[in-house]
Amino acid sequence: MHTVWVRLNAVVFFGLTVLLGLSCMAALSKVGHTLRQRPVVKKLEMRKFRSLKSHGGVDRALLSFDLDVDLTPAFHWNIKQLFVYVVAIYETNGRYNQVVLWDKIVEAGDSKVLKEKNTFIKYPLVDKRGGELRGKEVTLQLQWDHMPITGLLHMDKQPLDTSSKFFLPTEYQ
Amino acid sequence: MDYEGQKLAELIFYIIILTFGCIGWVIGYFQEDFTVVFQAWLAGVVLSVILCVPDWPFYNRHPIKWLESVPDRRQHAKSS
Repeated sequence: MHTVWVRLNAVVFFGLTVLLGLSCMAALSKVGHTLRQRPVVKKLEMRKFRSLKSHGGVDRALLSFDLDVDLTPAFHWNIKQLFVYVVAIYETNGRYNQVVLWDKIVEAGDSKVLKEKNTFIKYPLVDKRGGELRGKEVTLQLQWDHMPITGLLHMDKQPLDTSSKFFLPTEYQ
Repeated sequence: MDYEGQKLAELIFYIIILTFGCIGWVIGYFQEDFTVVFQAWLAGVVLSVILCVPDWPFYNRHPIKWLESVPDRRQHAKSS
């Protein structure tokens, strides 16, 4: 503490240590928040089916969907943003595939109510392993990542018993 | 800065940063806004830098009492 530089160093790094403590306390203050406050997906369903074709041996489906969800309960003072995505789930040989069709980043300052009407998917529903999509039953589920200001990322999703399903056609169209 | 001054400076910035940080945290908790905490913390750090880093006069109220200077031995040896 005998020179200006030593004192400046001491003040700044003590300050940063205190900030670290405050950030950790903020993260701890919100442990268990997700268990008590969960967003409810009011609607997530396919609106219009566009096509199901085979491209070079790989099945690909295109469609548009409706989404209505209020994500406000998922936010608290330690959340920076949510990464929200629509997942198509279908089964192949007893195992489940999940394909992301659409995503959106919702920051803490943005509108937290998502109302998508007849929105076209961003990424095609593709079976990358060259598997069959014809005739499959597809479930649409909303999932989201909580990206905190301080702490670990964790995921939550719409309960499957509230998810909508639809069938892909049995022939390419 | 003398030794008492250095002790005082350290005490001052410990108290300022911790107080601003804690009060800011409590306000932020009820406002549900972490930026409040950050701004209070930043205000505390800036105030501490202003008060504790420069060599203000009030940090020099207990100047170190040095001993009388010992006469130069070479000169002393020459004269005796």
